[in-house]
Amino acid sequence: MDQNVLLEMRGITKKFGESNVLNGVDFVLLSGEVHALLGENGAGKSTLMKILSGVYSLDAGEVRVNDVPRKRFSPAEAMQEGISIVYQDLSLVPELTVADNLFLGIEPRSWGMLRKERIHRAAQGMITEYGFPLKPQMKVGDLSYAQQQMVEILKALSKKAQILVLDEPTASLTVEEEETLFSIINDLRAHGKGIIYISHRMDEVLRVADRITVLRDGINQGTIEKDRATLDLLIQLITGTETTSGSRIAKHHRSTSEIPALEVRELSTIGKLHQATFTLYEGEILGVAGLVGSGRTTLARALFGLERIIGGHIRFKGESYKPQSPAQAIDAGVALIPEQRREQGLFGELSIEDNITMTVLDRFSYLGNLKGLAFVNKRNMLRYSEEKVADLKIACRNVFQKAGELSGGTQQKVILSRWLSKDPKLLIMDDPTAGVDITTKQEIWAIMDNIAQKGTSILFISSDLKELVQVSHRIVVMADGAIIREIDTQIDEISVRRAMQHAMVQ
Amino acid sequence: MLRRLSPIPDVDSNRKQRRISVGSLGSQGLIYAIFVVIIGFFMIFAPNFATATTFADIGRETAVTTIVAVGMTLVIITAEIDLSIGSTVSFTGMMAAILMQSHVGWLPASLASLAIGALIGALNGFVTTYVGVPSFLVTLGTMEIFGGLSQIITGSMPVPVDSVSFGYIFGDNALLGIPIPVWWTLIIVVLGFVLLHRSVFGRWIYATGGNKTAARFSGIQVNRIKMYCFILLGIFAAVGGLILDGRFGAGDPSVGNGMELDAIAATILGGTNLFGGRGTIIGTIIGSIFIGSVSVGLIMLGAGAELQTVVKGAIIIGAVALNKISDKRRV
Repeated sequence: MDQNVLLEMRGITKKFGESNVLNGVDFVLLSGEVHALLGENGAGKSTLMKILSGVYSLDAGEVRVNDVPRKRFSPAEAMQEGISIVYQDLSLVPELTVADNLFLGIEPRSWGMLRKERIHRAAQGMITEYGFPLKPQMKVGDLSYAQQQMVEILKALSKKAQILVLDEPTASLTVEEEETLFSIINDLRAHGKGIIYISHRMDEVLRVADRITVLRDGINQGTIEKDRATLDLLIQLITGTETTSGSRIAKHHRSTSEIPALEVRELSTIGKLHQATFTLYEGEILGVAGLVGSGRTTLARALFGLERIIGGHIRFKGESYKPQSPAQAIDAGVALIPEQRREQGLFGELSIEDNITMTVLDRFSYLGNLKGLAFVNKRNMLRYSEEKVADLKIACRNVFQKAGELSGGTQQKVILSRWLSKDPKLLIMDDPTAGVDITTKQEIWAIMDNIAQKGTSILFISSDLKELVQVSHRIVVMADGAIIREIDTQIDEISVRRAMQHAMVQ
Repeated sequence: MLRRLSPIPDVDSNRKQRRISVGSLGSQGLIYAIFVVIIGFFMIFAPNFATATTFADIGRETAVTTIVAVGMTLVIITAEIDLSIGSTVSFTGMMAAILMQSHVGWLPASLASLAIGALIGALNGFVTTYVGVPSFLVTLGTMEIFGGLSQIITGSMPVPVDSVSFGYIFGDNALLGIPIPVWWTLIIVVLGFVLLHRSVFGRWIYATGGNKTAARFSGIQVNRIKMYCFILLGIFAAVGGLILDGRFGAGDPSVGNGMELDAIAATILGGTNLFGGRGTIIGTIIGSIFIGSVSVGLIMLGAGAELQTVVKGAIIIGAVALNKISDKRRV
């Protein structure tokens, strides 16, 4: 087939605050091609797509659509250029029919009245053309997720989309529905459309994609042709293996007195975790490797009282531990640095001072601990937060600055500071350095090492294999909600990667 | 890498920043300017506006609205709303009057009234947080329920209050030259200020409205915080009901009608974010006095009640709209 270049992105660079989210990324999409975009959370995939769809402007680089350069586009202009994104959370009106949804905003009218029969006929024509199992008069709210997804794809096609972005399209599909989707994708490819396919599932990417581009830390790690792509190569690119000189930190040697701090035995939750078993010792940094969807975040949430535990048991500091809420977990001495910094960790509208002191307000009380009614001594609170800001080298105008104005790495330090104030016995960190610049990363690693030395146990989840290997004393590998491998003697990227690969082949 | 910003802030710049952030003058400046202009207008065109009597009048007029608005500020900062509060004012005031009429002493009657206010708040809070019905709907419902109950129980007639002691505590007399209702307002304002700006509870209120998930992840019991704010607002409404009993010498079953809207307007004019996370008590008080001044000024200019509401509505929309526009310019 004769393929032409639909989209050319060159040297795309995007900054948020001080950190580079995208750094000189090149990405080319041909007509009649399925081009997969891979990378862990925070690698820059969604930022790249938001630049494509006109939600974000770019700081440097060039976007050419059909060989026409575009410096700035609005989402509306992007749509006119034939760019459509089908998000995981579909944007359909559930109370309207399939036909109504397809023509939402572009309804054929005469004398201001809706031409129902024309909408119906046009919708039927499109459904027939692509052979989807839909009827124009079906109410979207009654359809399955897979059918709704088809409506969304049709809607994109009705707007003459040439470039179609599918964001995690199989995340909510059954196996048979996946097959249907793949045949639809093949069909679109045959129609000469360019498809950008975003997914975390390696096997389906290898199956459906013609080319694969991997992003890590906002940098294109390489674009690979289908024939050259192997599971091993992809995992290597996603998790990173090359060592950057000077970024290695001195790992302290864990004391030989092996006192278990946290013993997790056959822990299961509704949905994700299946009989996860491991032990975390006092003063140990235990790395958790595993791709998105392996159950690593569910494990963190379960230990923090955010999931319903349906099986197994946990012992923490020698006592039985089954937290029902974050408040209980915190009382027991557990802290969580959550995966989604802005949504779950930060009070963006509040000051750095408020963010740091939120969990330890009773310390600044005039009258001892009277729960919420204690009055805070503002001077002590100010002095305390200024000390913390200096300790962690938090870059800010002053402690009254709104936390939402800070860069990602600085925000993470503010959240870390909040939890260090609690002096936790167990610190759970869920991908704490995603989207964080390298200087701040190194500072965070040094802090982790420091508090582990003082006896805090750390459960350290990370997408970055290199980082895991550098910082952790031991590593457990997760897949399908279970711990499938424990690596303690020879910690290197290759053995961890092998274990992950092994899990996926099964 | 290069860090332009010194990690250790110096004390002087802190002070400056703090002064600006506490009053939120930065973003509220325009509304305060409009306030000053309107007051100036009345001073020039309403002959007796600039007198101590007028200011006492404004204080008396706005007392109950301010008291309710202080509670409303707490509720709105947690990202909820309470529309039932006018009905709560009527209902609690009426219940106190009925109890006193049936020879219950003024003190137990007043305390019972406060307890009823707390219960209505608790009901609103419970259904909102633990059942999960949006507070807009819950309180729309309780507004109708308690408004209707007030009418049914009294047969739509005012219930006279003749307790002399009650009249001293909640009546319209002056103490040290300041009307009693204004004293009550001061008490509630100070209480609200200390709770919101000086207590741990206050920090939790901001955290709850600012980012519910992060608050929960920080161990804050979000539902309980919201519940307490609704209860406080209910109690404040009962205080308002008692003051109105004392002022009119009777429990009027429709006295609080529309008060929820004045309280919300005062809160929003004072810079509280309707979607939670931001707001101050001082701002709310200024908002409330603003609305009260407009009412009193218009009366002095001889405007009827109907025209008053029209002008008030226009000023509320105009002031908030101007503020929005200037906000956008700044960004």
